[in-house]
Amino acid sequence: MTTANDVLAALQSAFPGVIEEAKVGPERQLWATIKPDRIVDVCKYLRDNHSFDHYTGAVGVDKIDEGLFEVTEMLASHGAHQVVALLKVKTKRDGPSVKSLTGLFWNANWYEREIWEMLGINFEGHPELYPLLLPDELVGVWPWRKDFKGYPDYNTAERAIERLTAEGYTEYSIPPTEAEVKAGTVQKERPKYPTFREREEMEIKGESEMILHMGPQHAVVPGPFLLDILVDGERVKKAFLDVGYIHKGIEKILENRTYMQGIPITDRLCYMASLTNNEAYCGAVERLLGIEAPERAQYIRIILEELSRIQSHLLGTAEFLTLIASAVYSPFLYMIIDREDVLTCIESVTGARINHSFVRFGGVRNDLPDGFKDMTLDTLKMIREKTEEYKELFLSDSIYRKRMEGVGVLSPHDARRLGVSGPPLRASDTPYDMRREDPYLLYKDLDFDVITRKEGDSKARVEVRLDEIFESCYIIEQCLDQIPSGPIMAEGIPKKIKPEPGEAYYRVEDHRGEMGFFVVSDGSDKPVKVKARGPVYAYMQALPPLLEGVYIADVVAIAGSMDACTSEVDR
Amino acid sequence: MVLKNLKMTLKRSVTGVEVTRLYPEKIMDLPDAERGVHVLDIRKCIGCGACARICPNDCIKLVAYARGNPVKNKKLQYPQIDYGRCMFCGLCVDECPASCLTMSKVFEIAGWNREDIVYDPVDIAVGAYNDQELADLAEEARKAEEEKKRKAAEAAKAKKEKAAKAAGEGEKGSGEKAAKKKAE
Repeated sequence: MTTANDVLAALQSAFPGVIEEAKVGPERQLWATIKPDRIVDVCKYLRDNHSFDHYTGAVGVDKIDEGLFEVTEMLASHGAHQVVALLKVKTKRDGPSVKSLTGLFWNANWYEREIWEMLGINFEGHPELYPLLLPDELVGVWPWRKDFKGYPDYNTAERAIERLTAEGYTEYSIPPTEAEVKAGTVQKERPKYPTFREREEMEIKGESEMILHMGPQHAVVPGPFLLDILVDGERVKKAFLDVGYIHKGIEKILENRTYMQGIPITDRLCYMASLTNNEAYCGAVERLLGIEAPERAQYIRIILEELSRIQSHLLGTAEFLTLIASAVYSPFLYMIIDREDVLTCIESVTGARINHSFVRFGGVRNDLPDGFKDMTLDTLKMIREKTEEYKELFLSDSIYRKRMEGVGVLSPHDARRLGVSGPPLRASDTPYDMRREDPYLLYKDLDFDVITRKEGDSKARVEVRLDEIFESCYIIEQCLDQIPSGPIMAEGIPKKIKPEPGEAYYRVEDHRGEMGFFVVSDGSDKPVKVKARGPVYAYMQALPPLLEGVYIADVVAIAGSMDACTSEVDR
Repeated sequence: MVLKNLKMTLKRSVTGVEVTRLYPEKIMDLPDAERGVHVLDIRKCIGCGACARICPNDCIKLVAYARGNPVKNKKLQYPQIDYGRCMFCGLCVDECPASCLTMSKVFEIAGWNREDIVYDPVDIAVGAYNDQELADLAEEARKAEEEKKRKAAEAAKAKKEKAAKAAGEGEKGSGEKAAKKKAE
């Protein structure tokens, strides 16, 4: 079994003098600072020799006091070992530039693009540095930098200029500053996202081709995002994805709230997964504070998160059934009715139906009420029966099977390469589950199976979700039997939360996959940087290659089987 | 297959699952933990403003309200909540040191304009005092204040006396010392 120390020793012997600082953190985490010019070599070595084949994401931090930007690349492995490598690269604040990892990991593309548009760090060798989440006008103001004053700049009211276009829309533009004019570094052309016309001119080659819009407002997308598909007859030739229509700047909001005030904000990443988002955020801050929740609180968290998983999978499947048969609404309503009972169980503890803000640093907000066990067991019995029924009804339906089998097949190799996690990855025969892989809370004491399927098609993805409902029911029953009495909050939690300076990364198994929070503290009562690494971000990025070569009618079946949530992608 | 589907539909429609409620007449059962409109126990509130400080959306303001407890809350400042901004997270309830702010099961807060859903202390308060009690409390508060002033004055006096005594002693002491020195 590989440990973080083994990896560190191997790195030090393979690259003498390249690792500037290194420490082995708790939970098999390896933190290292790498010389900027060797980061690609180090990552290549780790990928090829130590099976770090899962690129988890990248975080950009603005260390304005030191005049530095830090980019942390997060690497993990798909089941070969449990070490998470967090490799830091430092770059100067003026003219920041870091080497891109897109050549090694396909899915580094979006993470690096986001850091570029938010912090202005150039990634050398990145194929397409144009805005992902921000509108074109905001490129160049670098909103995640600590010296960003707002847009338009409320302090000087100088940066943004309002202008009416010929069509009557208001446009904002940013004139160059005096210093930029003097230095002669005025950007002539800002990188822009191609407009629809430009894309048509660029991409359409033949007579039989056209571009078809799906979204941003469309009956079959789970939130506003634009899916342009270039079709040749009935076949999709290429797909383009444009997100960022509901970018809320949640990570920036979290920087301006105290740690405690951040909890309700994390709910709003995705209301289906608000409990696991709370868990990931609170877990990361607990690591910074060095506290652990008491046993009863951990059991309560597991029970509620699994209940939340059931309701999310029910709604995900319901939505999917609506998408593939847009006119037929009854399966959706059947599942919604069942989901209401699960929500009532959760509500009796948390006091809210969807945005729970329930988990606290070192515990939970409320204890389980009287009669919770009986109510939950009744609900689980009902859910089991109903889920059996659904499986029987539509998974064995011949029309459904003809529509779903072999559609949107992700091979295990592709699924790993594209960086997806959660049910889509497990449907591609990769038993990668954070509850088993990186056991958080008390999951190591519980007995459950990681559901996998061999096929990797749309049907397998839905089957995995439905089977996970049974596993969740089983986990909750064990917890209700085992739960001890005791306190629900750890002792010695300060009234004012001010963690020691440092960083923490904590990942949990969201309903949709791997959800991680990266929190950086500088010793004050507000975090310096909070990065939410969501699972749906990875799915969405993997969508265009998955859609190449399928029929138009299958686009919805594939995109719907992913159970996406635009709110979490855009943040 | 068709028969099976039909069977499920029939089962669903016959085994009376109540799905649609006659809403305003019949409200669903809400648990005790429900996070609805706040309730302020006006007799306990100490007007510390912890709720206003923790609020992530800045929707709580402290405003004057006369029918409170002047013994505990001298300035008579109580929270006013703007439900146009509140997201019912419950952090204010957790933070309250006097446990006087709680959340009720009331969730119907619709109004005709934005000012209607800004709830003043009078809208959320329970246990407001009547005139007689208020007069008594005011008297008590006045007495407490007087008592405090008297004590403070006494303390100041005692301090002064002590200081004077110390000074006198010092003088005396120095005088004695000087006398001693002279004698030597």
